[in-house]
Formats: sequence, C-alpha cells, structure tokens
Amino acid sequence: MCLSLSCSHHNPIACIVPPYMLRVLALRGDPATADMARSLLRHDEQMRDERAAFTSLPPGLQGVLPAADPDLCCPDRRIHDGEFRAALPGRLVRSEGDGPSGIPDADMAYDSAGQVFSLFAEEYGRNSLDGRGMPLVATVQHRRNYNNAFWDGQQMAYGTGDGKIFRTFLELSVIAHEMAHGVIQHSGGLIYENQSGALNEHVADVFGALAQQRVLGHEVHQADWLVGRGILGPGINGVALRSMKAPGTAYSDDLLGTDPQPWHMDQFNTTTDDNGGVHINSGIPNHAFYLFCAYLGGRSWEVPGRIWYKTLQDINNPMASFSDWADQTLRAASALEGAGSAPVLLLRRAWKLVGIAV
Amino acid sequence: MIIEIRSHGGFGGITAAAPPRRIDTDAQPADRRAALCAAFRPGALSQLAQTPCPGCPDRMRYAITVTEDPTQSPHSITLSEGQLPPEMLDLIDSV
Ligand SMILES: [Zn+2]
Repeated sequence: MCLSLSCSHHNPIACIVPPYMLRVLALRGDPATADMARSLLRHDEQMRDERAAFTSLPPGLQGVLPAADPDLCCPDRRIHDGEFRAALPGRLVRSEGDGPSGIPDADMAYDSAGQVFSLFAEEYGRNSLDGRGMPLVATVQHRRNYNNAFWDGQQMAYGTGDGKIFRTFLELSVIAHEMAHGVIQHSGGLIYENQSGALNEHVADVFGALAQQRVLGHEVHQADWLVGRGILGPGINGVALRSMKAPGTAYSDDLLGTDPQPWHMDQFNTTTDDNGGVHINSGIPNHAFYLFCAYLGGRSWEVPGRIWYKTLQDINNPMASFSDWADQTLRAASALEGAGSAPVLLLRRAWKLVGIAV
Repeated sequence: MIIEIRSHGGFGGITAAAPPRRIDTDAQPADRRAALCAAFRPGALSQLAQTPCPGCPDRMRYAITVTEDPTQSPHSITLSEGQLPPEMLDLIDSV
C-alpha cells in the first residue's frame, strides 16, 4: 500500500489505489486508464527507491526475505501481423498500451497475453516468460491456411486455421499453452521427446487450462478442463483438442480420427511419431493433475497451480520421467502445504490412480 | 520433379493437420518451377536436416518425398518446420 508519507507529493490516485490494483489497471484497463496506471506505477517505483535509500532491513532479516522484483508490474506486449507469410515476426500492429489494432486475431492475442502474464505475475510472482520481464512477442495470421500455433524459442505464432479442420488458434487455453512453453524453456526446460517431452506438453496444458479458469472465475467443478475448446472446424465432430478431465474423448471424427490420449500408464503409447508421443502421453499427467484438483476442490490455479509451478522451478532435470515429476510434485506440496497435509495425501492418491507409484 | 509432402505433429499432435500435397513441378509456371526445383533438390534438403531445431515445441513435421527421375528411387526425408527457411514455407503454401 501507499504510505501516507509519500502522499504529500504523490498523485492522490496512486495513494488510494494500491500498486497491486494499479498493475491490474495497467493490464486490463482501456488504453487511457492503462497509461495512467503505468505512469503512476513508475512514480510509485521512484518513491519506493527513494524510501529504500533511507531504509534498511534489521540485520537478522537481511538475506532471509525474498528480493521483491521491482519490475514485476506490467507486460510488454508486441503483436505482429504475419500477413499470411512465414517470416517472423512480421509487421508490428499493436504495442503495449496501444488501442485495438482492428485485426481481431491481433487484439485477441494482445488481451490474452495480458491475462497469461497476469496469471504468472499475480499468482506465482513471475515477471514474464523468462522471469525477467521479457517482451511478449506474438505473430498472428502466420502463414496461409495454417493449422497450428507454436512457441519458437523467442516468440509465439498463431495460424488462422484452414476453416475446415481448425477455425482458429486464438483461444485463451491455446495462447496460455504456447506462452507456458516459454516459461518451461526459461525454467530449466524439459527435453521435447518421450516422457520429458510429454511433461513439457503437460505443463503447457496445465497452465493453459488454469489461465482460462482464472479468467472465467471457474472453480474445479465448474471448469471444462478442455484445451482448445471451440477451435475445431465446423464440420469436425469434437469439442476441443484435448480433455484433461477425460483424456481420449475430445474428438472422434472421420478426418481427424479419435483423440488418442490415454489417462493411465497401462495405455502409455510407445511411438516414434510426434517426438515420441508428446501430445499423446501428456494425457496421463494431465489426468493426474485434474484428479488432484477435483479431490482438493476450489480454485485450481491456487494450491495445485502453485505446486506445479514450484515443481517446474525446482525439478532441475530436463530429462525427467513421469515418476521423477510426480516425486517432485510431492516435495513441492510438502514444502508449500506441510508434509502430512491433505493436499500431499490427495496428490499421492491422484498419481496412484493414473498408475504412477510415488 | 514430383514433390510429395505429408505433415504431422503441431500443437494438436495429429496426423491430418493438413492434407497431403503432391506438386508436379512441370505443371508450375516457370519461375515457381525453378524455385521449387532449387529448394527441394535432395542435396538442399539434406543440408536443411543439419539445421538445429532445439526444443521445437508444437512445430509441424514434414515428411518430404522427391522423385527427380521416375526410373530412380525417390528421396525421402522428414524435417521440422523450424528447419525450413520462411521462403520455402511460403513456396509450399503458395502451391
Ligand atoms: Zn505444446
């Protein structure tokens, strides 16, 4: 909160509105409000710096409290139009603070990138994808009739779909999934093949779903647990690309085939396609995460999201197997919730139910 | 030259992400034919396969088969989308 000390020469709105709210306004307000919030935040930071110069922690607390990231505030979004060609990033059409571009895909990418930034910043204390405030660069209208979205190591890219198999890729769970690949990359990474690759996909799906649920305010039993809801073409028999609640049931179609995701280790798919089935076997940890959330109830982006985020930060094993990941989630849950706590017991039960002994 | 391209993978991890393509370079206008023949020469494709593609989450994979001479066996290679230069992807999309 603002200190009354700083109000004498401080914009009164910044004193009434705490920095947290200003960050929300900077993120979600209309361009004029967002501009005002950003300028107040800059001012507020200046004040904090000035205060810090006159303040020091008691010797016992130095090095104990986590260092607050002074830049954990606002996203720096840069949305480009690929103009249906493959070169990245394309023509810049909307920068941070700009009004709508008039290109619906670009404006959706902009708004959603803000919502995903907000999930990681406000719930897990992470400043952008790299934890150091990197710009959120995205290209929409990438290539022609392109049925895909991806993270290329530096930016997100979204096709428009061909209108038959896919109608769009601008959907929050998809956007959050791609951005989560960036977070994973900057958290030590998970090698993109076999079980570690399926974990990479799993973690991206988890934060894809959580971003969506948080925006909708959906608790576990209200949420649909779908990834890519509504992105399939109008003639395709399916609701989404993947289901975390019921892997293997998202679609069943003459053209697309049947959703191949298993939910139990007994159905683990050994294949060389798809980098060793990374988009297939992710169904197993996806379902364990869903079960854990369902046992726990409430908002999944809170305790379960925090446990998964901490696991990603702590695992330090790019070649982790499902079993390594499950063990690390239990360590994270014990650290955050207590060794004998209900979340730890329920988490162990969830992993057991999908055939992973922990 | 006959170029056949099957794509799979991508965000959906599905095999039918795009319909298979068959390009007969003889049926293309002269400038496009020249561009296609240069880009899809087996030697050029093998060189692209050396391009590193670290991580490459959600990228499409292209199984490419090139038949230069019907009397000889075709050349097949699978490349990640990240290994193909943008001009080549535009070329594929333009056909
Ligand atoms: Zn992915």
